[in-house]
Amino acid sequence: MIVKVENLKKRYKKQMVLKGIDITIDKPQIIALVGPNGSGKTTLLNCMTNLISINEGTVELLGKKHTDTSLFYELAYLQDNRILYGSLTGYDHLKFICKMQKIPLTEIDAVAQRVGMESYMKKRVRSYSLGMKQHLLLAMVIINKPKLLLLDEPLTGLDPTSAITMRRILLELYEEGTTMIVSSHNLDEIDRLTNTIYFMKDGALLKESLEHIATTHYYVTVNDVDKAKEVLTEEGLSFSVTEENQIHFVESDMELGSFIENMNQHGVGIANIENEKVGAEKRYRELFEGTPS
Amino acid sequence: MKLLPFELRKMFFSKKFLYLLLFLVIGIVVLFGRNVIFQSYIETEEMEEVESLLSTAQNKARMHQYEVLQDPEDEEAREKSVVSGGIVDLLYDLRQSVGSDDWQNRLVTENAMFAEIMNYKDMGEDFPLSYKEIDQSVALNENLLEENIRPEHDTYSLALPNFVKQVVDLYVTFGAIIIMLLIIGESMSGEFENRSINMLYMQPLKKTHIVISKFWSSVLLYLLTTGVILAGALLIGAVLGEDGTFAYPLLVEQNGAIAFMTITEYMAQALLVLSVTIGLVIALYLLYSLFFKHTLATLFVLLATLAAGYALFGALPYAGVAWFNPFQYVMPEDTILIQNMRVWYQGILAVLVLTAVLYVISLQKIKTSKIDS
Repeated sequence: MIVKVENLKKRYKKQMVLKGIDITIDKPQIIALVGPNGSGKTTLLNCMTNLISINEGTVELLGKKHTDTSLFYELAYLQDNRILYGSLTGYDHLKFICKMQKIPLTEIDAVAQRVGMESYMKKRVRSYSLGMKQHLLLAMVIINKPKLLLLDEPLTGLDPTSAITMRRILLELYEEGTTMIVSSHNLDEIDRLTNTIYFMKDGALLKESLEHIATTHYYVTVNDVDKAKEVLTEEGLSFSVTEENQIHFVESDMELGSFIENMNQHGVGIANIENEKVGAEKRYRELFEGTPS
Repeated sequence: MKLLPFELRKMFFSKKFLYLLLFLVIGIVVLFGRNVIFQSYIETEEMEEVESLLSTAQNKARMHQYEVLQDPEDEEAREKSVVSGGIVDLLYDLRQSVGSDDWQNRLVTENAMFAEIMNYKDMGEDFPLSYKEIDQSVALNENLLEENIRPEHDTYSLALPNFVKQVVDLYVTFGAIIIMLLIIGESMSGEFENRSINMLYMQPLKKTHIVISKFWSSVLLYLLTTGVILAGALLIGAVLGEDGTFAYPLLVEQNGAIAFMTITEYMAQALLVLSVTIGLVIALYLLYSLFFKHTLATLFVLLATLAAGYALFGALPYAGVAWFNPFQYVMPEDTILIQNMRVWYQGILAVLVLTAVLYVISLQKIKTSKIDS
């Protein structure tokens, strides 16, 4: 089990800020944690990494209790850039992590090159721009090739180039088998990073908002709806028929190409195809702003 | 101890520390400059003192002459007139010697004058110098003559050893504590405030290592700062100052009696007691940081603890309390130079024990410390 959070509760004085969170992740994936300010995203990540105490519940990460500091050989947590020391260079930060985590110092150049910070690595952090600091933070959390990576607002304040670099690296890490939980306000970027989104509201994780949110919905008008239904049912594919007699399916269940091929093979003609992109932002508005879908 | 070099680098390369070192070196130069400027004032000051005593002595002498004129048979008045006249004569001699290079002659004259003033006071007359002041001045003059050491001005000396002693005095008398608080003031509480402590908390290391590394890096920075101050004072004194001797005698009050120690002995004792006190200050700072997690609150409570401890223990009327007073070296100059009913090193053990206790409590406290509690 990569992440097992059960009934996690956190209280500040009388205010319950996390109301019994449950998360289970058993295979590498990228999960986005989305919610308005004060919804408890950062608190959840801080609780998971034992930076703040929990009042109730259990947290197991990579098969270990979250209080076990040896976790940090395989776990990394990207936070905001206030954790950096202005008086030290980027190289000092990376060297410190290498020493703490028994990583060969040769990894420093490799990771600097990967995030594109070789040119300013030896400069003091106090002279870094926001983007440069974010690159350093990223280098610091990926240098140990973590199995689990928590990221708190990694894309905030980044210029487009930096955001693209950040996203590319995160997707590469995912390909390499790293599981990520990313808290973010940047819904566009989240859309491009994952289609697994957990929405947080008032300290609770909204269970309805699990997967298949950010995807493309297709509405296809065919000349023989009954035949199309028969073919798709036989193939065991997920679909529905709308009131307008259109075949509706989502991209994550069936690719458009295979749908067309199936229909062609069985002589079902396609008259029209409409698509609708349903992204995180739309779902967010539905959940938090009451906008109807 | 893998964390220690990192902590040291962090604190050493902070702008604040580097600016502070620069400020200290500039401060030493300014202090020396002030001494140079006030050289001409030394002679004026000595002349004013002599003139003031002379004026008093002349008034006394005229009064006794008048008494003799009134009653020629009054033996006591006649004797007082002779003695006060002698004081006036010696003060005339002393006035002549102000500013001259013949310091031995001046000290001999001064001691002769002090002897006459003692004689005069023994006759029941008043004079604006106390027995204690006279005893101390005579003893110091005799020591200087015996050791053949030229006297130096207490405040404005340009002699290398006396100037270094002056710098050490300023440093040990609360200066070092303030400087240390400026240097380490954010090393723990500030890290909680700006959350940079998270970076340390998210490493596979025991949290106790954070306290250990912060304590010892602070100690090393204190030693470095002290070294810079001493080196700066020695360098400026050696290049721009005058010759002198580190055997220069300093007057010590021991159980009401007069004793002497050299500048070297004084500085060694002062820096030793200061160092153990700085250890206590660092331990207190770390513990309070873990409780308050706020720099201003930590510093305020720390200073209040030092001030209250110094005042409360100092107010206790028992001589034996010096063995148990861990705050007595907050102002170490008096502890060394005035040793009535106690000796200067008596409190060292108490300071070390309290430091160790606070250190251990901090180690325990950080084990359960979170960024929010």
